[in-house]
Amino acid sequence: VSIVRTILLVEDDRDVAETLAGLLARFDYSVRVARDGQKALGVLRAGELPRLILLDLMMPNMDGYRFRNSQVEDPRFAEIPTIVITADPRATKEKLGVAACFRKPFDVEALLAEIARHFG
Amino acid sequence: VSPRLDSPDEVLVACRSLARPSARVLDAGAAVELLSDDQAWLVQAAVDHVDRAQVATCAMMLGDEPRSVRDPVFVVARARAVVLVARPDEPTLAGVAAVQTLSCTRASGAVHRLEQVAAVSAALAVSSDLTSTLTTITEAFVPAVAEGVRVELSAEFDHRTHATGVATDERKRTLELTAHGESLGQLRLFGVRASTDDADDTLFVEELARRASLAVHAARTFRDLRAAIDAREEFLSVAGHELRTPLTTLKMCLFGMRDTSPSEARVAERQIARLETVVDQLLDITKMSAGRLNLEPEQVDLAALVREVAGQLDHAQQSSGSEIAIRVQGSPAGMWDRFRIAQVITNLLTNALKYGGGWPVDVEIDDDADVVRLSVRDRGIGIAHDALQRIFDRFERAVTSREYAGFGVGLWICRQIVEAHGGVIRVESKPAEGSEFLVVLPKRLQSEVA
Repeated sequence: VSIVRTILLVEDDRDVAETLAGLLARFDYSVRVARDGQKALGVLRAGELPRLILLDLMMPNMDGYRFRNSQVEDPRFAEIPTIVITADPRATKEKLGVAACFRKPFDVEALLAEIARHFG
Repeated sequence: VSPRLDSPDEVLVACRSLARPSARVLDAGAAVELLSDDQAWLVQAAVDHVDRAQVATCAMMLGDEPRSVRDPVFVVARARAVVLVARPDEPTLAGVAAVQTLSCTRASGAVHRLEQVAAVSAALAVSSDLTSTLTTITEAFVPAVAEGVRVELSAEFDHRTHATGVATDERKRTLELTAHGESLGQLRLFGVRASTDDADDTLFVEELARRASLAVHAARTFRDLRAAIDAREEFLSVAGHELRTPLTTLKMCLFGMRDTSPSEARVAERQIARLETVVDQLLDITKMSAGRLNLEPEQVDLAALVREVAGQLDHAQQSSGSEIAIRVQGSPAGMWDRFRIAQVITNLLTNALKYGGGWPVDVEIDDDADVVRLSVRDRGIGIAHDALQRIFDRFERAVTSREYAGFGVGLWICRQIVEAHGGVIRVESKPAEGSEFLVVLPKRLQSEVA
């Protein structure tokens, strides 16, 4: 496993997080899971910078919108490509200013293809 | 089915049914000529805010006997109640709470004072806080009543004070506030002068109490409805999230099983796709049946959107054997809800692929002055003549569910969306020759034009 294939997965649902992390591991990604925006910020602030962030929106404590605000405010994290995965049908990548937005339940192949694009 | 008061005529009929037999209720046009008559009252029914395009004004001719202010007031109040029953939606309630319309052509003292109170009632508007509602009413009453009269309003009706009636030190009157059979509180007047017996003043005080009751009741109803709507929105959002999240996990699990049990995984994936559709439709039906399709208009390039949707249907194109050919004329764009219009396109294209019999599907998009036309044509099984009328209805489909899976609400949802945009959707079809669905969308929403 190459250490540069790092992904921070921000997702509160345990099953979604575990399954997705397991799936990504099979494709040689190194995944760190954070259960909410607050914990994700903690990971970033501790200096553990991933190559890509997979972000859920509806989460307790700090939701994905607020995480995203904090992320773009900090020049150290602002440029990390971010892909949103959400059950909110109204979310779009334009509105969120992210690389892509996948609606749950997403097409797994399409998500993998988009992720791969960022490690190309 | 509750009656709907959608036209001034219907309002007139409703008002007539509410008026005393001795009163004549006429429409506004007929009323104008009668306004010089001492007995004519112009009643702007409370329905005029229901829909601004349909201002319902009607005139009422009172009969000979009791020339009280009660008749027009009564009619207005009852008309308002009828409207509330007929259209218990949010805009109506907000309007009913906000507007107290009673215009009388004669300005006898009592009527004049009523209008003062009416103006204050408007301030109660959509107040959902009952305490502040009561305070506002109390304040409103002070200038409205005769000098030297004090008003006390409380949220509870005290039977003892009512029974006591007139106290020794001060002259008092106690009136119970009720609306729709519910006791809301009481109104006490202190220092009422001896001439309270004067019929006009008595009526006035009673009318004040009645209006206070209605205002409190309207505010309360509005608050309750507001809470119910919020609760439903919240429920829909949570339900959507809770239904989609497990499907996400299942989909990923199945993806991982593709190598080990390919055929089972394929079947399971198809079932999940079905569930996805059903979940989306279920939530949409709930929203749309309640008439709460909140559009979020933005500039949308229809050709680009159609290409995007067609791209997402790549897989379906391959498995159906039908190819989607897109032809664009001009630069068709407009202010629409991107998400909802994409839903319409997805639905029409999916149907065309599903029922297209493997033949090509033609999509034409035309830019035409104020409207944009979208046509989706297949050369497949077509739709039987007798089914054409009902395919846009809920839970209808032209084929049996055994033949093709689905909920039978896709086109109903399309119609709701297109109509919410002020557009039309129609279909032409012949069995075995194919179907053409045509959507005409105005480039701007009506609400924006206004």
